[in-house]
Amino acid sequence: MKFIFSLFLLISINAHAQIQLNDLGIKPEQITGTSSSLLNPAKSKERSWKLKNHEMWGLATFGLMTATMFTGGGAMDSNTHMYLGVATAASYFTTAYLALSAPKPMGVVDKGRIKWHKGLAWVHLPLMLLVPYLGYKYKKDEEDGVKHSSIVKNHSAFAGVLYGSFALSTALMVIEF
Amino acid sequence: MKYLWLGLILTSSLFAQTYELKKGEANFEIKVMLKKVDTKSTGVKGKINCNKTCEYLLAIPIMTFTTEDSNRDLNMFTAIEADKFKVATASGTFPKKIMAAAEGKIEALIDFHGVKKIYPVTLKNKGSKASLKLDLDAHGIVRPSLFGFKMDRILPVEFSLDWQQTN
Repeated sequence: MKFIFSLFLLISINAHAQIQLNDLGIKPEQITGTSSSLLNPAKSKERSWKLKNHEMWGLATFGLMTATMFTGGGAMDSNTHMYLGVATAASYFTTAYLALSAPKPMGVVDKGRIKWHKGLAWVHLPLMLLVPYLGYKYKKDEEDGVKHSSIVKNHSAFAGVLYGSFALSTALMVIEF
Repeated sequence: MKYLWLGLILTSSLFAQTYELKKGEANFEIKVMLKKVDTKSTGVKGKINCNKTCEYLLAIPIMTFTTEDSNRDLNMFTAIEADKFKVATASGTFPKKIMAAAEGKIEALIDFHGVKKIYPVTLKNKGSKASLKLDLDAHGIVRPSLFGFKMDRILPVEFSLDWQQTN
């Protein structure tokens, strides 16, 4: 009899007890635990600052790259195209540095548009190294009266691919922030 | 006397009802400038204890929210300090008849980002749909911005709740 009495008492108490988070299967460490897959506040602030600046430098690079493309036709008449190219490269590598050095939490798997944004870097980063060098060689060959090699002749084609891939990469983040 | 106590407890136990969330989902839409981003969590957990009145608790582990873009998710978790405030909860009481009503209005004490605030909640389909409008500023959230435009202060949140009676 005492057992039945205790059992009903227990059921009754349970029915009236205030619901707690552990009743929902949420463990205490999930509420206030010290381990976290996110960054500590200082690193988080650094990441936020670097990515905001990456965004701004990326847009500035896109602007400079556009101007460089438009001045390509008159590259032999003035140095504007060359100076714009140098400025684009400097801005591009500043943008890249800000993204690459931004702290990222462990275990985060890239998904969505960021995956494409990062993937396109494998196209435009090598081209950003190659295209200015080909531009320099093109101008030097013209000045020295030397015949262009086949790769140097394709400076503008490589520049077009660089511009297209960079524009797409920029658009992915501007349109889907 | 013993039988009187026993009778009281037995009666009380028989009238108590418990509901647990079989499946729960929370959705909200982030609006910045002309952009809209859907955000969803399928990690909603909840329980209702009913006697004369019903008492409920809903909890959402913050890290279960996703926009299907890992970079944006990280930015969101940073903005709402998900490492510090890991769970958002909604709790309160409501009359038992609400569980059988097609529509109803109740109040919820929302604990989000370490700030508690009471909100009116609209219930539909016998408590299987719930909605409320969260005030981000009231919870001390520094609203993210896109090109200088801050996201909307009021965030409508929709819940889809599949309750199952367990006793």
